[in-house]
Amino acid sequence: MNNITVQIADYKVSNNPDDVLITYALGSCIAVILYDPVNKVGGMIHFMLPLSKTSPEKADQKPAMFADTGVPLLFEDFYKAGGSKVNMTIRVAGGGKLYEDNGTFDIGKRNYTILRKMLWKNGYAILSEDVGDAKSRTAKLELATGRVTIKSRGSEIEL
Amino acid sequence: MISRDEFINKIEALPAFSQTSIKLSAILRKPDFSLSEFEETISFDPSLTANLLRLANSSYFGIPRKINTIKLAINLLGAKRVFEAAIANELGRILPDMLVGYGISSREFWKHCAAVAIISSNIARIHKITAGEMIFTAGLLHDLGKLVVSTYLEQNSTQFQDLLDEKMTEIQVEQKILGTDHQEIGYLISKKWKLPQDICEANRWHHNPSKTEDPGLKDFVGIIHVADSLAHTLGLGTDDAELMRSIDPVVTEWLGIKTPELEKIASESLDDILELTEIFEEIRR
Repeated sequence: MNNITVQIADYKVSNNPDDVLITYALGSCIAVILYDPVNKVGGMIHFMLPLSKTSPEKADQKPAMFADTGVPLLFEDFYKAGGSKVNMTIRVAGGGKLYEDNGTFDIGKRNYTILRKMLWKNGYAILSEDVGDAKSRTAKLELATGRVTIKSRGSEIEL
Repeated sequence: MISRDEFINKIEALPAFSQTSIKLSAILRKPDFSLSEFEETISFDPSLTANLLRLANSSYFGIPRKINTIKLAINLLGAKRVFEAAIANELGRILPDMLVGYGISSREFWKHCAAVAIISSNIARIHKITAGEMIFTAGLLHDLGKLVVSTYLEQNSTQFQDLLDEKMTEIQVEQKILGTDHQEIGYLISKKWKLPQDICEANRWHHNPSKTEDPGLKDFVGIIHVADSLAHTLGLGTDDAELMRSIDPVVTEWLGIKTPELEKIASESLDDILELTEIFEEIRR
């Protein structure tokens, strides 16, 4: 098994069944995890913020920093790597928050809202998700099996 | 409950900050501050000199030419940045490999400190906080108390996790188990090391900046609070407990900070944070 780390504001796609895509410390950031069980293609993004208008310059350099510029790239590369829309599953993790965040710091909720809107507009449905709460999560996708696990403070769930 | 004396003993046993960096901070604050005295003080410390040159050449500082003397580093980066690198070096050097009690590696802890340093500098710049001279350094050093508190949480790990599950904040949990928290211990450490007052206050009140007594430091500590909260929100070096925290409600009002600004600051700070995180390996070499 070959662990490939998806850094914050980055995305990775693979069609190698030996690969495991993994991303750490999703606070308010969100991981979108794509998988095609027939062609064994997977993809994962770890985006940080909802909208690229926040900093168009940064969006040019690092499109995966934002949902609106990063998520389309993830889908594009997933299809290029042989993933098909018919077989594809979409899972979502992250969008966490501080315990009492005064509203001002709830970037996770904004990330999630924008993401849902984008997916809905394009006719995509989320198969399963683990979002919200005062949790920092690690998300993992095994290319061979399509198994997605989310780890937070020692406990692990399958998504 | 752990007695105060035991904490004090534990603080005594910490690997201390070198006298050089403390002296540098004093030189930097003199009204008739002398560059040559600053340079000379570093030169008397060969290991600091070697590390500073490595750091000065890292991509974080972004100087395209080779920096091979401290004098040149001061010329190109300025004394303040060289001082910040010296403090970064000190912090990186004294961290244990793992802060087991908080469930975080030293590299992740370092990433968090780097994030708070960079985000708070950016907030201070945008809000033109003039007292923000030391804010990068205070950001780096705001969680000193965790170096000591971690050990005690490790000894009470089941209770620590249970109380977090019961939706108590990190500070409440520490208070309940230890009768103190990492802010108070951080304050004692920074006092013992004779760090400047603003850094001591940032340690003391970064979870509750409205309790800062000195009115001249409220903005300063408030910015550290906002930067700390934003860094944890984004998952930049977040440990087991830090999301269980509250925003001091007065702070966003004082500073007039709203969500779009936080997002802008996050987007513009990320690259620097990741680059500053990378120099950790250089320091630990």
